[in-house]
Amino acid sequence: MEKSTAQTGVTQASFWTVGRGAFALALLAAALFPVISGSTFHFHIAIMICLAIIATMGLGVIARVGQLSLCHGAFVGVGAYTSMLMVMRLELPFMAGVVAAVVVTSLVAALIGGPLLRLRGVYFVLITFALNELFRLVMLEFPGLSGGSSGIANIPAASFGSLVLDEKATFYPLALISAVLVVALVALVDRSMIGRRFSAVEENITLAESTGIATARTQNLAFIIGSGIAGFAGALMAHYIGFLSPETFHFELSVSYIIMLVVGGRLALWGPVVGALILTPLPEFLRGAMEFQHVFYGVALIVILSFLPNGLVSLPDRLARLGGRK
Amino acid sequence: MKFKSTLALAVGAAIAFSAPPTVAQENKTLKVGALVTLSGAGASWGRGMLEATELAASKYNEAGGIEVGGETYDIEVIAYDDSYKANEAVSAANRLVYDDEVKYIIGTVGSAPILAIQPITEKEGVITMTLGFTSEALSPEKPYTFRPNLTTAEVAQPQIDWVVESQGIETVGALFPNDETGEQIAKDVSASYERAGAEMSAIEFFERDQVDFVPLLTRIMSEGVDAIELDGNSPETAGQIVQQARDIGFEGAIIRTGGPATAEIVNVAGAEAAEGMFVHAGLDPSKDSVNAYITEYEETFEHSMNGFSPFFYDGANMLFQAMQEAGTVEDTDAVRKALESIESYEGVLGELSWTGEDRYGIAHQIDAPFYVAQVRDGKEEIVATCDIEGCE
Repeated sequence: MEKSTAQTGVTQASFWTVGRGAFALALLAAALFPVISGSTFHFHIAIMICLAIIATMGLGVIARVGQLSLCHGAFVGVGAYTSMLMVMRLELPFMAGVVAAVVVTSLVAALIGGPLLRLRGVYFVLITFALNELFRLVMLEFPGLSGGSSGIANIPAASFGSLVLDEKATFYPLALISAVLVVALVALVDRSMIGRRFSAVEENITLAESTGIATARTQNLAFIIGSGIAGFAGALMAHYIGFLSPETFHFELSVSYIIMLVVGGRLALWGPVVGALILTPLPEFLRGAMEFQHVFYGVALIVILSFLPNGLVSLPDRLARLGGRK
Repeated sequence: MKFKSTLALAVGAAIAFSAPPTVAQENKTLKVGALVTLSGAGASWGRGMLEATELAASKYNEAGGIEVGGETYDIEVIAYDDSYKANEAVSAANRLVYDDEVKYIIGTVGSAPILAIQPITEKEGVITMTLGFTSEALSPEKPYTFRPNLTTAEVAQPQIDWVVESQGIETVGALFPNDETGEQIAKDVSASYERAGAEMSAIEFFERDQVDFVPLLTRIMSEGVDAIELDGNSPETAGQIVQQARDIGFEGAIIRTGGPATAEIVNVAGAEAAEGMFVHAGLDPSKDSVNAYITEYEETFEHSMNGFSPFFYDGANMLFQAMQEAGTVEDTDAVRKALESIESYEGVLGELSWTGEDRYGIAHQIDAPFYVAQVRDGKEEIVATCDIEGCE
């Protein structure tokens, strides 16, 4: 009996090592794919994946304290508009725009986080949904600021001094490095005391409070970090696409981030990466008939929530356990 | 297992090596993108544009291909859906331009999508033919964008002058979608009614997905308006508004100034609710060419035709003619110039030329005849013939 348990342990451990190695290789292959193919379109998709990874990582941080924000798309929008206004109206450099985007979104999150995070479950979801719509409608009402529904075109490309990243192949390294840095940042948070507080609050908020954790402050901090990351994604998006319209930040954008997070793995570090990698290129397979995309999303969500509640990242673990049971 | 795979390999090799060498020289392929809305509100416009392009292409393909500069090409139409969204349109445009390597795009349907994709298409010299009503779509800085359909800016004033005068209308209410197209049309139409001597006294904006208009219509009716204007709404939405307005007892005139949509409106609202509506008609059904196009379209695709479709059929044909005149499909600058210089083109719609130098700074706007019609038993009955100067 002992022997067989030990054997299973070895099998699981080797399964994990192989699994991790394969995952790392798959990520590397995915990152290098556009470089090898050289296709501008593949660069575009890869950039969109990086931007989705960054934004969904932010949503993941908020999910780590047990909240599901339906206004994440609006925070991406706040970041996008802030950076655009800094660069186009105040003629500041791109980096200043990005920093301002992160600062402003974090400040907005800090301001509204207090009263907002008192709500839990469906109430929080509903109020964040309303906030997302509010952001879009307010932007439509102030065309002087946002360009109104005609949007703002010709937003300058990202640049560092004389180095202008106006080609997809030149913007891609920036998007990739940004995504890697955000994943690293979230990994650091996960490993720190703050990360452990996040987990405690997510697991059981009453218990966490009884052990002396300042739960409200902890939730606020997660909301600020997550929204700040969303603002960063928004700033990059504005300077990459070059066109902004309030309609881009429709609540469907927030929903798409949620789907990526849930499909990938809500609380796992690599969940947003897996979700974005699979779901961002997906519409391209259905580009001729987008209505099927919603059907697919619906079915994928139901299947994953039923069989893999911890997302696709938990699949190797499930398989290893199944293998171990045999 | 091993035997099976060996056998499969042998059979495969035999087929590969025994294939006869191609005798006839194959045509090259000319790819044309159709970046249109195929799902959600606005899908009927998108389908009309896509199928017009397919019909124009199939004419050449059935005749053995299109001859340009001594080469023969089969035309392949690649259709992508943008769901009427700017960010989806950007991804689809990236795919069309860089992956499929098209040099011609029919689309987009919406205004925000065309403004969003222009940085790519203008930079890469890709000729686009958009339906987007925004005045910003056409400008001297965007030499590769053309608009083969009339917009409110062209048709509103002559039609509104005629309807206001002939029906004695003083106050008008209107519902517009809350987006770039809706706002632009609201601005244009309000100014036109004012110039015609009437007042746009009640304006409501709504989200494109909305289906219940009773609260908005009730508010408009409480202002005691003589007429309701439907310009800027998708055909399905316009149909719903007509039906709901009549259901709650609105008896005034219902006017649709721009955008052909009568068939869809009657389909949704029913002939009874739509009876007596004044509509913009881009087509004169008494014209043989128009009738022939409608018949062919409906036989080919087995559903009713959206009124914008013939504009894009003529537009696509003008584009193909421009390629032939320029003698190239690769040099889009030459094709663009050839397209600009087409004058008095005899299309399904009648005689077509390019206009818009005064309004947009570039003559990339189609100049076509149009009509005011009244709906009788679910069909359009022409009551006035118009051009940009006025109606008679």
